[in-house]
Amino acid sequence: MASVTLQNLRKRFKNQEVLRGIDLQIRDGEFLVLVGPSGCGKSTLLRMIAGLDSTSEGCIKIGERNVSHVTPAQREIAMVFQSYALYPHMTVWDNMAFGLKMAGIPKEEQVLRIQQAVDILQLHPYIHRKPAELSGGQRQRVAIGRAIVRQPEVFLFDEPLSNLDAKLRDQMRVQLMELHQRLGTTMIYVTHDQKEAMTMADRIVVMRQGVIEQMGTPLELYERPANRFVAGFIGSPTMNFVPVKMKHQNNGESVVTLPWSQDIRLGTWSASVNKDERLELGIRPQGVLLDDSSPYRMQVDVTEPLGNMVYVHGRINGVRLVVETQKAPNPGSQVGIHLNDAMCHLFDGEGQCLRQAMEHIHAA
Amino acid sequence: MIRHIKPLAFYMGLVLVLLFFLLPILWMIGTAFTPSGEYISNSLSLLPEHPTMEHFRALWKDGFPERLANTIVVAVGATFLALVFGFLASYALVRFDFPRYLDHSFLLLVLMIKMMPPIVVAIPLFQLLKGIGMLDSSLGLILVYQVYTLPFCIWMLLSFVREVPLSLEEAACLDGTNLPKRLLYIVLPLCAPGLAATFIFTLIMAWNEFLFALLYLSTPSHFTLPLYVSNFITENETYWGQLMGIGLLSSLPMLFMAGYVQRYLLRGFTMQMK
Repeated sequence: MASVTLQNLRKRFKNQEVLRGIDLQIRDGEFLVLVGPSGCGKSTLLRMIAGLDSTSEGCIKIGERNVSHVTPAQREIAMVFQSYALYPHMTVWDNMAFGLKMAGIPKEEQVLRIQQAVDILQLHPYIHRKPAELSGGQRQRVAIGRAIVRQPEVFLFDEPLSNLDAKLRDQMRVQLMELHQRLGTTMIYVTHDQKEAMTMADRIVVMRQGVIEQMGTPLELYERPANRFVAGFIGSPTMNFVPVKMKHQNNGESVVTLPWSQDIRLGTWSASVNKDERLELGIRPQGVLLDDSSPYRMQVDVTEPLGNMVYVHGRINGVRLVVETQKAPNPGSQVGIHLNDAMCHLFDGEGQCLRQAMEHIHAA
Repeated sequence: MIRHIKPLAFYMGLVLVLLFFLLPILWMIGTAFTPSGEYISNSLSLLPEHPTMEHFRALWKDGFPERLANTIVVAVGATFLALVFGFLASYALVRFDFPRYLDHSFLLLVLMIKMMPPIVVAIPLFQLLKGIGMLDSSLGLILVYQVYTLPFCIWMLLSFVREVPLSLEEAACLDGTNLPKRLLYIVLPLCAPGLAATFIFTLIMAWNEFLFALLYLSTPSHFTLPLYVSNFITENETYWGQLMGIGLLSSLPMLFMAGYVQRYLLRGFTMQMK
């Protein structure tokens, strides 16, 4: 087990800079999730930690060891690929044994370690099969098994669940979390699925265009997003964004006006805002309430019943809103809405968060 | 009624096409067993009236086994050499980052060599072989055959190497393999069907090569079979019996080899590359 330290890590492909100075300290035994839209550089970052891509600048440390210019095999890491990358001409057993053989580990030790991995991942029925004879989920388990047997300092996962169907993905997610608890090894996990990030991570790093937008525990990112991007990326369904105008800001007390002329009191904060500045109010679907007495009416477009709750998609003054509620209104009808002041975030023209919500409703 | 006629016509057509291709071969086999007196008579027949082994006995005494051995050495040697270097070259072309357009121009050059009539380089190659003292030797012939075989191998293997997913090699990299081990344990086994296909085509090419053998071999005991065959067409007489005998004997090894490799070929292709 080991910590991983990234210092001012940069990566350039030809003229394009895909990673623009990454500083990150991953604690020993931590489950860290790198998340972001495709092309944000998260996979490149993982591949650089693995040693599959070279670093243009900066330094990677595993434990106290600087591994920036060390071959992948000597970094004591194991990686699970999106495509699983199982050797198609070898049986499940040989796939797991290959790395051990190459490392010159004695035969008895090999058998012991593989047997252990087979037990953990319940691969007994398949050890003599070739990857082509396995289902997606089984292949995934073999790929994890191949990583476990090497007893690495750090596990790297590159979108390992994205090729599985939804149900299997849920199962594997739980299995991976159990595995992390059992082994206690540092794990770095790349995904574009914010749900995976939220449920699995000790800490999430949100990336965009080669920089870290924000890092923190899942709850921190959910409740206190640093900017509009993180606010929009974390949480499902996404946060509602409503363009607003600053009405007045007296003694720190500010009031903004929504497009449907409703005023929202946002309490006090230190930053002063230009009156003409383009502002955006962010509010999660849980913060919008259906209220028949409200004069502000929303046109209901579609409803998404999920059993225990309903997501209502509608429009008011040309602004699209998603509302979480218990009872579904009829599509096409008009419903009154009420925005909970305390649950509003405010973002400036650059997308930086000016004011974070005071109150949160957790899904739990 | 029409339903029955259709397949019948279809099979008749097939038989005709098959006969068209098989007839020369059947004729060759027939003639190889026909006594000399019989095939120069006017009666046209595929099957000999009095089958004989006289041509084969004559060939055996004349030094056929030696020529066969020469051919095997040259063809197998040239094929293996081309496979080894073709495989390495195609791997390098697929995986290594060459300066822009360099790999494309290289491949184009290789293709041009393949399309060029071999006679164009006959004289330079002659000088070259003479210079290194390899004229009239099997080893020299193996080397010059690379003019045919290497471009072919590079182009054939290129697509097979490309099919090997990069992630497999990266996984092997993390498993602690260096390049030679990766080639040996991962890339080579996955390219096996491609190598088998390329092997058989290249072998046939080298087995039947005539021009370079004619130009660079002078001692009769060093001759390969295609060159040896031509000895039986003389100014005075064409020895059809021996000629066909060699034809039959020299096609048999290729036939068996193709049959043997084909099984492997099919098995390889059915192995999913995932």
